[in-house]
Amino acid sequence: MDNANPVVYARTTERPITPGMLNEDLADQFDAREVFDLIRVINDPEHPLTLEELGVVSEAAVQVDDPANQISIEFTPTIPHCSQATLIGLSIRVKLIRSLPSRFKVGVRIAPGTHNSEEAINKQLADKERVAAALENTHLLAVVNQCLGEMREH
Amino acid sequence: NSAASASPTCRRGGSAVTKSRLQPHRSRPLIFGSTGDSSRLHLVRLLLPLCGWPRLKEHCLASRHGRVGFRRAPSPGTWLKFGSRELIRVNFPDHLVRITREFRLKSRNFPGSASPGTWLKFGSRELIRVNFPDHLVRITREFRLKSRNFPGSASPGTWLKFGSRELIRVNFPDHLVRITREFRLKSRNFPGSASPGTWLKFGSRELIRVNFPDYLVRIAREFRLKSRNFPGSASPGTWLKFGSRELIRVNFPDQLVRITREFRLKSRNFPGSASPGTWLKFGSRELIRVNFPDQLVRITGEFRLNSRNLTRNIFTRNTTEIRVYTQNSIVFRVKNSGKSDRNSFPFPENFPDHISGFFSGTRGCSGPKKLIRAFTRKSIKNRARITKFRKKFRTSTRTAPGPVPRISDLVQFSHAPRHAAARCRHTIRHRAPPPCAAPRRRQANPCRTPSTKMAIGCNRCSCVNLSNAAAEAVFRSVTTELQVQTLNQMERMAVYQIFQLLLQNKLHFLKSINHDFVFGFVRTIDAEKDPRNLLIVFELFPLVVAEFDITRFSEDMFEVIACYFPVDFKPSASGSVTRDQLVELHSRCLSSTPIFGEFMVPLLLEKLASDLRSARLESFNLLRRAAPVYPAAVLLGYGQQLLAAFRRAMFRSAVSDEERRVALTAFAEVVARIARSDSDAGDDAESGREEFFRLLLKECRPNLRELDPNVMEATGRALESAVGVADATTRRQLVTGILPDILAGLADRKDSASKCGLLDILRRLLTASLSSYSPTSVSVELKAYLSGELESICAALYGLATAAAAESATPDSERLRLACLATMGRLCSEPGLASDEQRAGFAEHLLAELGGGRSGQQRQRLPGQPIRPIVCDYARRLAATNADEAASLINKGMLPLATEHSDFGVRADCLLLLGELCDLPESISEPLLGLLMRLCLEAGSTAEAAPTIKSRLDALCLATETSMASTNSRAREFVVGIWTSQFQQFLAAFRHYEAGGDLANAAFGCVQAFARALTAGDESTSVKSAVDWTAQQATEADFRRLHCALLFNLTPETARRHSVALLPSLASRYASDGSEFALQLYASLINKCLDYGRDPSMSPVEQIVLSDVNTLVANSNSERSAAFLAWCLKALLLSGSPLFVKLAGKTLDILRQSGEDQLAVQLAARLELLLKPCEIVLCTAAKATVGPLAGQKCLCLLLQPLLDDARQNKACLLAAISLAQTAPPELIVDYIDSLIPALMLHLRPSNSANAGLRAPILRLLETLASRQDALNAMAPRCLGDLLPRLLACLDPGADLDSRRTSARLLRRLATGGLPAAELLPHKPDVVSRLGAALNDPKRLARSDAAQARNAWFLIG
Repeated sequence: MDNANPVVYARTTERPITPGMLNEDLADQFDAREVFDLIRVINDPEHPLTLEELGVVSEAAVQVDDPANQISIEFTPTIPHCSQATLIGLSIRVKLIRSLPSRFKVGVRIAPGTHNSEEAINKQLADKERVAAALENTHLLAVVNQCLGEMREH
Repeated sequence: NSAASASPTCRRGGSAVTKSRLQPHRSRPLIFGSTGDSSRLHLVRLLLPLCGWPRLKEHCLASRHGRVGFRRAPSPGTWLKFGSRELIRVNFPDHLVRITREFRLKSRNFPGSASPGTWLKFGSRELIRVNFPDHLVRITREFRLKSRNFPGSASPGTWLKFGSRELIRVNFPDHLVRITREFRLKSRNFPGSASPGTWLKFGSRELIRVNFPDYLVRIAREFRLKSRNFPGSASPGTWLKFGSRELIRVNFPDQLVRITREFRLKSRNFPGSASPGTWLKFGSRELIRVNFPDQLVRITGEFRLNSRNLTRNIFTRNTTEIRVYTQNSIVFRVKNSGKSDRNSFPFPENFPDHISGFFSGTRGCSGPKKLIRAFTRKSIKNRARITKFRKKFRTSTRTAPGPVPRISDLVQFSHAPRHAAARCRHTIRHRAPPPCAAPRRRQANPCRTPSTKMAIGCNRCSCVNLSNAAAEAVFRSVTTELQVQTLNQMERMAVYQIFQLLLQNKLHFLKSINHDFVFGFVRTIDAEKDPRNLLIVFELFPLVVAEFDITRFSEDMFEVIACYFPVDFKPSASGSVTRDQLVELHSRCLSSTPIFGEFMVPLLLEKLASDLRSARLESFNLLRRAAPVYPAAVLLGYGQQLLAAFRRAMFRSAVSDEERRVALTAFAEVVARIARSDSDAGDDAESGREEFFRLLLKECRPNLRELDPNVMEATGRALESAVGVADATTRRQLVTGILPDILAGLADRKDSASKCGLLDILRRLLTASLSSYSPTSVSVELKAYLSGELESICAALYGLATAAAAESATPDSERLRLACLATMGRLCSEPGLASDEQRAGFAEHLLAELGGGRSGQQRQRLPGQPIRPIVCDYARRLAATNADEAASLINKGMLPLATEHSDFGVRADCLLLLGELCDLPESISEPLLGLLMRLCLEAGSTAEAAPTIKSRLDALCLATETSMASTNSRAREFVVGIWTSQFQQFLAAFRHYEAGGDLANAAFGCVQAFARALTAGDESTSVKSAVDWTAQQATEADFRRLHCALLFNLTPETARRHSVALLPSLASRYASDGSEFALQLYASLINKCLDYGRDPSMSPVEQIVLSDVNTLVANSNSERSAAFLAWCLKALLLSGSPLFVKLAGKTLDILRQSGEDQLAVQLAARLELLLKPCEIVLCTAAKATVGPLAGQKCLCLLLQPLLDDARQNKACLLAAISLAQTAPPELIVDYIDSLIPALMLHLRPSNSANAGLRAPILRLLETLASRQDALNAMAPRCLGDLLPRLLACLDPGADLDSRRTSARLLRRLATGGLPAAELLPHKPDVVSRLGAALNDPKRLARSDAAQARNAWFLIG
């Protein structure tokens, strides 16, 4: 385990349901909070905590441009030599592939200066073919699915 | 003769036995209860007088399966089953993975105090150790990954830290496993001259040097256990050779040695068709694959016998020669050339013909040449002939008369390679009836002897009919022939059950062989590990201790039971035994006799000094339980150590509250035991006790200067328990010893919190010393001492209270002031302690405080008046000892304050105080209640200020409830009497206040209290007048709630008497203004009236209800009619009235005939009321009749007919949905079959006419799916139909609710634990359609769809 005692952050409260959200005549745009809500519940591969609780992802690090179909996410590994950074990035990408309309172009990157192998990992995450190949690997897919599954018991 | 003397049961049984033997084809008589093993055991029991136990033949007991009575229970070792490949593959890795996962989850928050064994325990099996290395190998891999970045300066220990210190120790072997692997890699080039230590250098040399030999020693020890059959020439050390591959083979599979044993057991029935490859698949781990063959080299010849490949290998090798010889001399030799000269090897004289015939060609064999050729040929074709030969050989050996030379001594194949020859020899040795150790041990296994079998079998039958001799035979056979520790769990349990039965039925006899029995018992239960068995053992143990003289074996008995302390047990998920059960029973064992005290107390002291919190807690709990039993002398002997342990647990800040609490209770018991020690035990005990209390005082005294309030509280409690139980002299010593310190502390300490703590100690001390007052001379002396000190104590307390009152009002100063007052109250109310002047002074002070005094300003700043409980407590104490003085305090002190004081707040407080004091003796309480009632009536009629009226009403309400809460029935009667007499005036006084206002609510509260008073006790005559009166007043809207308060509290009997008058008025009121309130009252009333089971003459009420329903349905609007019908249905359903059937029929008619009109739709929606729990009206709290089976009846009479009509009638479907929505899950499962098709029919997406039904249908489906049993019943029937419909509901054309519910349902289907094989065919379609829903314009729908889609991705 890379980081045996990570700092644990508080969870964000659930997004309140406004009357506008229930009004069928109004269309809701995709925004950063919505995308953040998708990825904040991803489980950490090592700890029984979510990425939000570990501070790996934050709403501020999510940028959404709905009209331009662009989404950009930066995540922060808990320590600079975190060996699970690639897996976390892959999990975020897979979760968004499964949860967002295909019209969006999603970029997942490590926040600048937060990891020793930042460039390599960013390159790996940006490479569609490598992501696709990784998902062909049943073992890796099982690990990713474990991250995306229901929260484990503490 | 024996049969004649047997009991009647036996005689009947005996004749039955004879009959069944004579007529074997007839069915067995019923007297045996059941067929099979149990009946056989009964037979045995019945035959007992005839046969006698020890000589009973084995066949009498042999069951159909050749076992005795019970089968081998499935154990965790199931996964080790060999011979079934699937089992190995599936269970073994799964098991390991599970532990690993648990470990990984827990290890993050791994508490430092827990040991690794806690996590890795898997039941109580040795197999834990097997799993452990595997788990560690896993860690090793991670470790290896990380170690690339290993900084040179860090030591290996740093990297091996894994949550806690203990884990480092755990990891070491793992670390060594890694080293071992490296070592193996390197050992190929291992130079012979190098020592093992050289290779084991890894980072820190010292570390490894220490640990590695330890590891090897461990293996060696394990191995030594297994190596009993190992040839004597080889020592375990031989196996541990370094520098060769043999070493590794041995070290590694510590685990495999274990498997070997299992393997040996199973391999007897090894199917010949399986190949060795099958056996070697052992998970998919490389480690195992590497090791297993290695293990097989050592394992068994049996395996080779069964293995085709190995057989082929043996027999296709070049056989160089065959030797046949007896003991030492060679009698026959054949060279590889194939040529032999049989004449040159004459057989010895005693050589049996039947064997020599094989070689001489006289016994059906064509001669040695042919035979030898068969052996020496390489061709596999000859294998069949070889087998034939071997069979013959075996047969002839078996049937031969007289002494037969052993086959192993006779034949030896010599092959070209020497080791192959050895293998072959080995093979044959096992093939023949061999003298090898394992089978011999099996034969000698005492479990197989008849008497033991019978003894074990006897656990199924009662021992009542056993003769004493037979019981002794059973007991002897179990304790002497059996080595219980070698049996499996079920067998051991059987043994314990035998003990149980013997103790139950043959106790008197067993007592005659007291020492033998105790010795046998101790020997039997020794080293038991299985929790299920331990439950029995722990139950038996106290019985044995109580009934037998265990003096001679006391230490053995103690050791055999104390080894479990503290109980360390983590129940498995499916286990039925809990830790609490074990702890409870085990502590009962340890505290069963005073004899254990001298052994147990040192052990407890050791555990109390432990770092493990759980161990300390359990030790304190045991001490609490055992202290009353153990001799006081033992406790006194360890008094100093015990006090030290208690000090650590009670008087330190860093102790958890739970531990402190447990320690305090244990301390109280210990002190009580010590104080109870016999005074005639001698001067030693007396002096020891004095010394103990002196030490206690010494321990407590420094705590008076402590800052931690918890420690001070603990000190107070400790002193309280000590003073409470100590004898008069010690008590006086304690009080006089610590009181000056407390008073000095009160004067010295500056902060209020510390003073509060000291006051708390003082109060506890005084309470304890005064409460256990006895008129001995020493106690009188103590009291006199306290009286003398009272002046100074009171002075100090007054001073403190005054100073605290003068300070700015902070919570601390208020607390201090109140603590002072409470302590003074306790002292002044004590009879004979304070003088009259002192009491008068305190009462004056108290009243001044109550009246605001000099701290009048503070009252407003600090909300709440906590002085009231103190005054109340003081008044109660005073009333208990001196009623006159209490009455004078109330009448002369409090009443003027309550009525005449200028401050409203004071008046209100005093009024409440008076209300609270209404549970005092009647001489005080009755005038008080009358006064409060009078005050209320005056205030109501003279229209005083609203707050004043309200405060008086509140006080009256409180007084009514307090009086009713008292156990005195006369007080209750008085309350009811005064209320009934004053009720009209009361209502008249408060009638004109605005409904819903504060005053009306307060008045309502009073009447509610009265209503509760009316119905709380016996039914009194006043109820009728009250009910009549309120029924007349019920037309007034302001007092509807008063009516309600009465009606809700009415008992069925009263309701039944007045129902005819009340029901029409309520129905007409509901018809006129549609008040839901009146409707609920109506329902409540008919529910209470129509309890047909108790009163058959209910037809008038029935007619009223029916006519009311008809009138309302005909005349009122649809909403009121539907609600009325629904409430009536519910009331009747719960009461179990037959009228429900009529009304249900009417409801169905309305739904069927009205079709889609408003009444039908409203009624359908209202029907959800029927099965919904009602918390206000129709519940047991409101005295409603709630009969059984209401849900079943409702569903049977309503839901089923509705579902039958649901295809055509939309209202019927809606009604069915309403009912099903609220039905209990266990009931609705039965209707799934008919419910689902109806729902599917109307959920068609193309049918726009059904758009209104979509939302309720989806809601119902979601409700059903949320219940696991309903989902399991529903999914297989409708999955294929349901999924396309749900996916269609995701279209943007549907409303938002439907889209969301569909998505949620889809998610539930994916996560509901349905078989993946059922869901997988639909997965591509569902994922694709949900993908489209991700672009929904509404965010909520998108979110639900995304969750559902993710859940579906995870399937499979």
